[in-house]
Amino acid sequence: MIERNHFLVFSLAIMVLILPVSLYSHHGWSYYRDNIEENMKIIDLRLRNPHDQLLAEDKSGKEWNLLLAPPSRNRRFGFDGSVIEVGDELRVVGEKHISKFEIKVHCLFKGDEKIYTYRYPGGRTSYEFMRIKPNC
Amino acid sequence: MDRFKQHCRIFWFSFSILFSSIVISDELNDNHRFIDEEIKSMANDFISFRPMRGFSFQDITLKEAYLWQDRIAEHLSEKMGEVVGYKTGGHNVGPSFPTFPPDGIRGLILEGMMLKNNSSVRIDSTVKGFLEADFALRVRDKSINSAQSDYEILKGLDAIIPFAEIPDPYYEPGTRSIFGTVVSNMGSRFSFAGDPVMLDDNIDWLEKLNNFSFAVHNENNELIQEGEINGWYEPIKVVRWLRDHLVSSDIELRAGDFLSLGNIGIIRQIHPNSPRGPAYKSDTFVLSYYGLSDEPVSVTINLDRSN
Repeated sequence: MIERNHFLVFSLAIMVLILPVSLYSHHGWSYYRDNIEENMKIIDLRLRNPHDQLLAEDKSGKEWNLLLAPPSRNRRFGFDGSVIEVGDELRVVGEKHISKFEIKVHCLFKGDEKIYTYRYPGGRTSYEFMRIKPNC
Repeated sequence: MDRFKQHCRIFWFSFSILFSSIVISDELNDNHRFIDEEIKSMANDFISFRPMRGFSFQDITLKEAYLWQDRIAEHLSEKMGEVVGYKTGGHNVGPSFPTFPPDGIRGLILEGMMLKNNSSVRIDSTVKGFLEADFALRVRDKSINSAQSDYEILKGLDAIIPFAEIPDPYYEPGTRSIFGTVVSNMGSRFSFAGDPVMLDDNIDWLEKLNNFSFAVHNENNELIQEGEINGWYEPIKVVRWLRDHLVSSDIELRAGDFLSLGNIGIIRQIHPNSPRGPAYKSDTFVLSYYGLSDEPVSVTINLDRSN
């Protein structure tokens, strides 16, 4: 009887442990985990489906893939990439992928000017959804 | 036995602490993350024709519900494309749907929802779908965002769009709520647009828009139902409500946006056994507006009943 109860408690405990992990792993932003805010130099623009992307290099020379919203949405909200040139240094605010050098961008700054904001289809910004607001 | 109970308490205490620390350490902790999970499930269920499980978070504000509506649109947009307009409902005189906010509801029209005039829709492409006669206008330019008078709003519009919809509010029984309807984008599945009637800045349009009549006919030109906009809602007033509602969410209208102003009192169920009425027996639903142009303008939905 005691062994059965031990087993029951152990099973419940495992479920409690697994629950938050499984929820996390199915989250839309689950692979983009850590806030990042860093200056990077743009080395290429890939403005095409399914997502507009920028390739950028950080100070240590690492290459990053900066993921923006789909092109049609970006154009709708006025971003066509024309404000960015290869060689520009931008401040990137976003969420870093857990295993790749990839950032889901919340916003981009050129100097003090915000030149890009990730928006959902209806126009709300991605950073509105973040519990800890990024510096956008 | 006492030692066993003590072990149990230690287990639970430890795991509770661990559980709490995992949840708190996440930037999308507390309800926020769980709501997001539910939103994603709703989107997947809707796309897969499974019943949506309502929306269990009822201690949020309406403003937050609209925020989450945009989040579900992010999920839906992977299959249904980007926003091409906005829709609203609940502005007619008399009782509205009980699952709409009392002063009206707003939703998004996505590109993939828009079907051409005279399109055929398979019966099994919705689960709880119904044919709905609507009325829509199209935005001319951004001036509409700051327009003050009815006439200025009219000048910010460039066309009347004959418009009909097939919403598909498929929820698990007993789970519908106002927040759930907002968050699920009103279960919007298909929209149909006829040829536009171009507007100009002639002030007479304000009168015409409040006084046109409409009717639905079937494939044999038999009258299904008719009505008048006068006494139902005033289109420019509804545009103003929708515009204000969007502006309050920091959303600006853009040239070309469709504005669907809500049903005009003719609704027919596609499927049998609906508590909202018998199934539509005809194969075609032709909605026509009269009095807006020299000739009636219409939009047609065909139901494909083949297997």
